Amino acid sequence: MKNLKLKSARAALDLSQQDLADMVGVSRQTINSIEKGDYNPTINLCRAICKALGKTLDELFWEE
Amino acid sequence: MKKTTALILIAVLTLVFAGGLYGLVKEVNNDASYSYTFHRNLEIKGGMPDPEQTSVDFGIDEDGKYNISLSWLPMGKKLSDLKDLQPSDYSFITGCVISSAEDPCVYATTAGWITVDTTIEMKAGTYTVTFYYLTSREAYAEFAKEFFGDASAEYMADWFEWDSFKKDDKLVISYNNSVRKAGSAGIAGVWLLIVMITLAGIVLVAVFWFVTKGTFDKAKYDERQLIEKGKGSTYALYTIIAYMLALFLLDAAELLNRNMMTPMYMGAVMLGVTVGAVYSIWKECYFALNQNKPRYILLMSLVGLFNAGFGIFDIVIAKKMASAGSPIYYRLLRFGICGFELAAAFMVIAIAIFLKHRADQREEEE
Repeated sequence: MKNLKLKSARAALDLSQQDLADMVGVSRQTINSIEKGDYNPTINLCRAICKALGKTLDELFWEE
Repeated sequence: MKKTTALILIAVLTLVFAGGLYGLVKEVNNDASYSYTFHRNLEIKGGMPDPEQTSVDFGIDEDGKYNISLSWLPMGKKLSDLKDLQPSDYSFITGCVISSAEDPCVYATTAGWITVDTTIEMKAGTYTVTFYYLTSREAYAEFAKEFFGDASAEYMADWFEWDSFKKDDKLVISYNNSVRKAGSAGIAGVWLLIVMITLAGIVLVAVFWFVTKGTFDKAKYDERQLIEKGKGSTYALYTIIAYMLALFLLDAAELLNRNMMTPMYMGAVMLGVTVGAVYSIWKECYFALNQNKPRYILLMSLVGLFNAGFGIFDIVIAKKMASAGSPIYYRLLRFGICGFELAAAFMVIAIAIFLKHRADQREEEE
C-alpha cells in the first residue's frame, strides 16, 4: 500500500526524495520504495524519517 | 595507507608483474620466425609400422632454443580435424626420440593426439627423429625405462586399458612434428616490453586508486540495499546452477566441442555475475551510498574495452594460425572468446546503469 502520508509530509517541507534520502542516510530508491509501498522499513529508519520530517511514527506509518 | 588498501595494491601489482613475466616468456620463446615442419603419413599393418618410415633426418643451421611439438592423428583424420577430436578418439601412445651422432637421446617424449610442446636448447647439426609405436603396456614400460627411467614405467599405464588399438588394425597416421627456432625480442625489445608492462601496471593502479579513493573498504549500503543485494546474489547462484545443468546435459548428449569448455565454464561465471549485477543496478543497490558512480562506470568501461581488444586480437591471431594449418589455434581462440565474454558482461552492466539512470530521471521528474 502506498504511503501517501510520507509523500505529503515530504512535499510539505519542499523536500525531494533525494533530499530526504541524504538526511536519513539512505538511497533515493529506498525512499521511493517506501512511498510506493514496495519496502517496509525497519523501526530505526522509520524513526530517522520521522525526525527528519518533524512527525511522529503514528502520523507517518500508522495505518488507519 | 590502510592495511586493506596496501594488500589490494600488492595483489594488483603482483598480478601485473606475473602477467608481464608470462607475456615476456611467451614473447621470447614462441616467435616462430624459423620453422621446420614435416608431416608423415605412415601405414601400420599387423600392429607394426613400415620400418623405413619410422625415422626422418633434419638439420639445424643455428644454435638456439627450439620448440618441438608432437602429436598424431587417428585413422581418417586430417590435421584440421584435431580441434574436434573427442576422448573416444584416443588410441595408442607414440614415443618420439631425437638423436644426433654425438647424443643418442637429445630429447624424448610421448604423446597422444594432444600436442606436446617443449622448448629445448639445440646446437647446429643434423638430427634424427625416430617414432616408437607403444601399443602395449610392456612396450611403454620398455620405452620409459630406456628414456625416462624406471619410475615412470607405470605412468599412463591406464591408457592401454582402453585397448582401442588392435594388432590387425590398419591405421594411416599423419604426424605433425615441428622444430622451430624460438625467436628472441633482443635485449632492447625485452627492456621495452618491461617498460611497457610497468607503465600499464602504473596506469592500472592509478585508475583503481582514483576510482576507489576512500570508499573501497568503507562502502556503505542502506538496509533495503543489503536485502536486495542478497536477493541479487541468490538469483546469480540460481542462474549459474541452471547454466551448469544445461551444460551438463548438452555435454552428456555429446553436443559440445570439448576444446571450448574453458569459455563455456567461464560463461557460467560471467552470466551469474551479469544477472546479479543487473538486478542490483535495477534495485539501486549496486553502488554504495558513498561511492562515486561515474568513476566506477569509467573503470568498468575501460576493463570492458581492454577485454574486447584482447578478445579481438586473440581471435585474429587464432584465425591466422588456423589458416596456416596449426592444429593448436583453438588454444588462443579460447582466450579470445573468454575476453569477449568479459567484455560482454561489462557492456551489459554499463547499458543497465545507463537505462537505470534514464528511468531514475523520469521518476524524479514525476
